[in-house]
Amino acid sequence: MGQYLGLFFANGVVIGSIYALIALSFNVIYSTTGIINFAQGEFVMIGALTTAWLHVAMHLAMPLAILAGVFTAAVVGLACYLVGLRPAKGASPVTYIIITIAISIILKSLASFVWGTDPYTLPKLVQGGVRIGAGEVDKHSLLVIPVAGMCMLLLVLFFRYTRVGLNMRACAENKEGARLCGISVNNASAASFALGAALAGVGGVMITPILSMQFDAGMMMGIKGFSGAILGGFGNPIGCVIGGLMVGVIEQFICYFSSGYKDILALVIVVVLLLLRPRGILSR
Amino acid sequence: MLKVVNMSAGYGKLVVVKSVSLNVQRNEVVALVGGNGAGKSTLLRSITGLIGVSEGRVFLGDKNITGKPAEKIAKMGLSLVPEGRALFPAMTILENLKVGLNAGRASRSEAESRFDAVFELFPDLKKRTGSRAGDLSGGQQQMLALGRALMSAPDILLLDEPSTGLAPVLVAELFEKIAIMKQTGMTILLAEQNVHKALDVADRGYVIENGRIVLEDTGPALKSSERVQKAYLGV
Repeated sequence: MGQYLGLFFANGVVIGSIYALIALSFNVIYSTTGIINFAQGEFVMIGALTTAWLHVAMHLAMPLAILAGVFTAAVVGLACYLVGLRPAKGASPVTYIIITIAISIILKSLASFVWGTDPYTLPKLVQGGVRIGAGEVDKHSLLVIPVAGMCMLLLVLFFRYTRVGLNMRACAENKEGARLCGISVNNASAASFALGAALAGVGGVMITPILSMQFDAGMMMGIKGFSGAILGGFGNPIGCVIGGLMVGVIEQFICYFSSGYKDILALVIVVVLLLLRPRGILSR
Repeated sequence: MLKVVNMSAGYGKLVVVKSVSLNVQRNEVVALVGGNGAGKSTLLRSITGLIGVSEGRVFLGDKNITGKPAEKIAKMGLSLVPEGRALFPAMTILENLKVGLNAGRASRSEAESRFDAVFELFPDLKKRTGSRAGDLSGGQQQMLALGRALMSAPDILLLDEPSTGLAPVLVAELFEKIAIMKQTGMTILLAEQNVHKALDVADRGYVIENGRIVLEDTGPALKSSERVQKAYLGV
C-alpha cells in the first residue's frame, strides 16, 4: 500500500477540497439562519448540471457556462429561501428540516425533468497527469485544490471586508444586536442562502469533470459536505474545511480496500469520530 | 422627539407595561427609574420594536413608529443599547463599530468623523481596535455598546440599565460619559436601577412601578421626593 499512499492522499485532498467547499456552504447558511439545509446537495447538482448543459449541449464557452451555473445555483438557493423557508419564520428546527428535505425532493424531480436521468460531464480544464508514487493524478484534479483554496480566501475577504459579509456575521452572532443596528435579518438570511448555494454550485462545477454529475448525485455530495461540517463542528468555518478534507482523505484510503464501500465506510468512520468528539474535532 | 401615548406591551398574554405615556424632548436626558421587574426594559424594548405593542402609539418626531420592526426604527434614528449589550463577541471592536454604521447611512468622511468622535469619547477602544469584543472587560464592552450605538448618529439614544454588572468605579466613569454626551446635546432616555446616579444626570425623570408611571418630575425634584427617597434611595 505504501507506494500508493501519496496517490490516495492527493486524491483525498482533491475530493476533500470540494467537500470542504460544500461543508462551508452548509455553514454559511447555518451560521446566519440557524437552518441546516438538507437541500444543499441539490445546489451542487444544479450548479454542475446547468454548467454542463450550457457548455456541452448549448456550446456556451466554458467560463460563461461556469458563471451561469453558479449564478443559477445562487438564484435557486435564494428562491428556496424566499418561497419555502421565509414564510415558515419562527417554526421549529424540525419543521425547517422537513421543509428542506421537501425542497430537495422537488429540486431533484425538476432536475430529472429538465436534464433527464443521464449523467453529464465537463471537459477537463488541463490535460495530462502528475506522477505521485506508483500512480498518477491528473492535472485537472490537482487544479481543484488551489481553486477551492481561492474560493475560501474570497469567502474570508467577503466576510471580513464587505458590508453584506459583516452584516451576515453580525446576524450569526446576535440577531437582536443586528436588528438594533438596522440590519434586516431576513435580508441577511436571503443573502446567506444565495451565497451558500453559489458555493455549493462551485463545488458541483469542480467535481463534474472528475466524477460526472446526474440529477440524483447531489444528495450524496450533500451528505459528504454535511459530514465534513459536523465533523469539523457546525459554526466553525475552519473546522468545516478540516472536516471536509478529512472525509475526502478517509474516503480515498477506503477505496484501496473497496471502492464499492467507500461511501458507507467513510460515513461509519465519521460517526465513530463524532462519538469520540460529539461537538466536532476542533471542539474544546 | 419621542412620544409614547397610552402604550401597553408585554409577552404573549402577560401585560407588563400598562398604559404608559411619556415624552422626551430634543437635547433632553430623561431618566426612567424603578425597581427590578418594574417594566423598564419591556418599555424600552417595545418602543424600539423588539416586542409588540398591544395598545397605544409611539411617535418619533412626527412619525408613528408603533409596530414597525426594530431594524426600521433603528434606521429612523432611534438607537437602543440593550441590557446585556447585544455585542458581536467574535467580531473586533472595529467591526462592531462598522456594523453600527448600518443604522445611519454615512458618507466615507462622515463615517470617519463618527469613528473619531467615538474614539475621542472612549479612547480605550481606539487602543484595542483589533481586539475581539468578547475578550473585553465588562466596562469596555459597555463602552463599545455605547460607541456602536453612536456610530449611527441617532436622533435619540435609549440606554437600558447600562450600569448593570459594572464595578462602582466603572459606573462612575460610565455616568461621566453620559454627562459628556448630554453636554453635546444628545437626546437620551435612560432606564436605570441606580436611581441616584440616573437622576443626577437627568433633566427629567419618570418613576415606573408595576408597569405604570407613578411619578414624573425634574431630576432634582424626584430625588427630593419622599416616595423616591424611601423606595429607591434608602433614606
